Amino acid sequence: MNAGTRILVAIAGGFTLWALVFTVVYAGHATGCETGWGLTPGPGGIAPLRIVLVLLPVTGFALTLAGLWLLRRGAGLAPRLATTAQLLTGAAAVATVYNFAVVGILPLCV
Amino acid sequence: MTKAPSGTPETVESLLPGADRGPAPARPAAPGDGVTDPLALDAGLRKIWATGPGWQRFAAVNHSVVGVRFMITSLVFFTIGGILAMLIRVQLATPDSGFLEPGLYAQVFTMHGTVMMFLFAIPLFEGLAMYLLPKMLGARDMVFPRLSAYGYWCYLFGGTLLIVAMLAGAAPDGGWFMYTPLSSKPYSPGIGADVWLLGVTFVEISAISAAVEIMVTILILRAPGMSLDKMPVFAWYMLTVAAMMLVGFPPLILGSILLEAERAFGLPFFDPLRGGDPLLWQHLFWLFGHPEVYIIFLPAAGAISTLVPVFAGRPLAGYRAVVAALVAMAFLSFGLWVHHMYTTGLPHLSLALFSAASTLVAVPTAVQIFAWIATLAQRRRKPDPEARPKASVPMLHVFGFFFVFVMGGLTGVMLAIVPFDWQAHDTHFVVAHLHYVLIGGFLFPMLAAGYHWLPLISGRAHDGPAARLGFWLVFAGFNGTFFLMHITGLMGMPRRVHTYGAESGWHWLNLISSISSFVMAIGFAVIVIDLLLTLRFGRKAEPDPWQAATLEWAVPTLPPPPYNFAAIPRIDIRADRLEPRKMAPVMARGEGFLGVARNGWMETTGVTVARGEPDQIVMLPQQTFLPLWTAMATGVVFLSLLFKIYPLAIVAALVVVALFLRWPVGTHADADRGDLPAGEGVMLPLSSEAPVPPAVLALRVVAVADGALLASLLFGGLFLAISAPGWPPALWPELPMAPGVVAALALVVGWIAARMAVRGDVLRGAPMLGVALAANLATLAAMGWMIAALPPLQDHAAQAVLAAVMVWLGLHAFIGAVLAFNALRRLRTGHVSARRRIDIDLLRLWQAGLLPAGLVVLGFPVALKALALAALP
Repeated sequence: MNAGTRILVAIAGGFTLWALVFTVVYAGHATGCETGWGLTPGPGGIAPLRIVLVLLPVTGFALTLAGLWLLRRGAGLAPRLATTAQLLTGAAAVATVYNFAVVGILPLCV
Repeated sequence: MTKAPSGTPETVESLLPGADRGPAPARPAAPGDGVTDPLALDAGLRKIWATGPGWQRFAAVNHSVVGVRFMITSLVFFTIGGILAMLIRVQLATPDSGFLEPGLYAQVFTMHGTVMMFLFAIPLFEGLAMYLLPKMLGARDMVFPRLSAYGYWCYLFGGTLLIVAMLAGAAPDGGWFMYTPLSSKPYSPGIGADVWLLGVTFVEISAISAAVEIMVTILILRAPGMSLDKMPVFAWYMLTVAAMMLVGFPPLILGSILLEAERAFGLPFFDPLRGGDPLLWQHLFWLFGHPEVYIIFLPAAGAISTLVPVFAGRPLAGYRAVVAALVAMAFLSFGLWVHHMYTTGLPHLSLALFSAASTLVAVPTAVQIFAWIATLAQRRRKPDPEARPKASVPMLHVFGFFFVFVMGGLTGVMLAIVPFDWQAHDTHFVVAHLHYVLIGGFLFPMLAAGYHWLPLISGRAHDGPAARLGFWLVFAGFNGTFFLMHITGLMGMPRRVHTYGAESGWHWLNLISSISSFVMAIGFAVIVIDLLLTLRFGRKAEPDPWQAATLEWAVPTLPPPPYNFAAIPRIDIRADRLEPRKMAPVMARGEGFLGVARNGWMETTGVTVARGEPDQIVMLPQQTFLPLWTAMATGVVFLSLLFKIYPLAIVAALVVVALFLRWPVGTHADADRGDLPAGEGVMLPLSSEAPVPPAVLALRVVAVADGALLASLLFGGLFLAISAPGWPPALWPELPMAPGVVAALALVVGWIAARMAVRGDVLRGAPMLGVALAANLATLAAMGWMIAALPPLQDHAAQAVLAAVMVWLGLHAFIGAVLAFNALRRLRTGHVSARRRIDIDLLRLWQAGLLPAGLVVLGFPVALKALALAALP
């Protein structure tokens, strides 16, 4: 990975993950509600669609934290860029929690 | 990059191969040792870089000229939009007013929004960025000057089309976001909606071209040593904005094309009776429309981040946090589009996702605002630690920005909350909010920026008291106009109503709003008169009058010469902590990189993206009428589409392609030149021989926008399949297998052929280029076959969507064929060698991107059918 690509990944990686999770959760929710997939409660009374919608941001959050850990170990960036990248990745992690907490709470297709 | 032999006393020109061609360079010029005669160097560089008089002005490509043209033209459109706003306020000043009849009123408010958003705000910051960026970054021009000029002409022609239509009484009247079905043919039968769709798309071409240019310029056209982390913060803002434009504008371009296809040919993308859905338009529009707000705000915020430190006498507080905040804002702004659609009946869970993102975006906004306040609040470092920030005219406008924009931001958070939005939706509360955000977040900062950079642009110092009067009139008038709209909105006054009854109780509030709007207009008139008087009679500005610390103030004269810098400096510290007054004379003497005028070449340094190490001499193209002709031919395409003369549109499109193929000319690329002295003992290749020339980077950037357009199209199709009524159609449009197989094979063959053409001896690559050309033509033919096999496209959106994706692939195969043809042509004319293989590299990159995208397109019909069947009730 050349230096330019490394910087791009370090700076944009966290929020790119957030955007991916956002897109997949929104599209998955709409598709699930329209097709009726996963709406019947499964074991524990939880609908499979809700499990998927919760797992997606949880995975995204875990990957973002992993990215933050890698950044803190040092990604070969200039100090100013390294701080910026860490701030952004940390913010993306917080945004993921704040943005998707509702998928575990609200009614699915009302 | 190689080092020049040490200890050689040769001059730059003596090291050049074939240095006896071209005009005599300024002398003496030794690499890195400076030129002892700055006047001779200035004369030599001016001869190369200056735009000629008379008709030659139409051939201008210089970024200062084009940037100023963008800004002046946008201000003309602003004046037109302002007059339209006055008409609106006159109409609403009293109840039951008969000043404007309803149809004309609809045209007026539609054109007001359209002009302000598309013809004023975006082009103004594009012009400012084009003007400033090269100077801030230490370059002599933007990376594709002809693209700048082409973008300007497209903008001028597209904007003129809209204004002429309005004067002819054929303006669009469906509101600036042109919701379907109101803008569909049955409800807007005239050409007004077509004018909007085609005119705005024409202008969007300009915006996309500017985005590509801004991004590539920032990435590689910086002064040597200026790594990304040393860039001035304005460049970070513009880099982010350019990326947002690349992703945000394609959905609107796509939506406009689809709606025009529905209006012109009856393809029912938005018609619910035939498998379409009006909500698709809302999604596509707001996928553009919401990021657009931030696309407009961020350049203004960049200007604030640049000039607040100047007037505070301190560097920007929290540089790293500010950069992080603006990048976060860019991402988050794409997760908000549905907050314009809270009342469309989406499930609560979806609304909650968008509501959360909408409130979240306030955080990075606040980070920037606190950083600016912190910068102002810090003790000054120099010259007097006890001194307070100057209450100059630019700072007055910064104050206006703080007050108005924060108010708009707070009402934005209110509107982000779903239950509140349900109450305030489509009322004057929303009108008040958006004006607080846009005028607060764009107009006041741009006025601050205008006064700040006026000495740079005009060479005149500003010291008139009229500017303060103008500010206070605008500030008071603005708040008097729009603050009261919060109240009328909460009282239930809907937006866009032609009139209202006296019994509504909105009368006095509207009257005060209207009177205040005229106060604001008088304020703008005072500012314009003040600026005109300054330009005409102002005293000559002294160098770096604000004691700023960015590179644009290190130009040798005010206004700057067309080449910006006689030599390009090496930057070793953060580029907002420089000393322009000390740097300017050094650079004017030619000390630094490329401090020489040679061969009539327009040279500037190119650097590596991350570290900013010099890696090429970027050769910029000279003045030419080609951008003007190309834009005129593009205009003929749009006019032909508007008046339904489709054969002429096809001919004009081919002329556009032919003209574009004439752009990459230049004698420097006729032969291999090897590494050339660039100053300071550094030897660099010309861009035509560099491993990653600007055009290659530009193609990668264009691929982002292209990918966004394809993703929007695929999203649109899948959205219809699950959400639109009448899916699946009674008879599913099955596609024949054979052309699909042919297209898939042709895509693979084209990719392999393009790769093989750059391997080994490129001079023997002609057969492979021929294969790539044939493969692309085969793909094009296969797409034609598939579209012809579809049932009538007007019958159902399913086949219309399938045809649209096939058109996308066919068009890209055609472009691949053009690139292959161009590479063959350039190979035959001797413009391609082992070192100069950019034409083949472009084809290779194109085919490498087209292969996966094409396979996705070919697989899309299967996914569409599966989803449509799965969504059956």
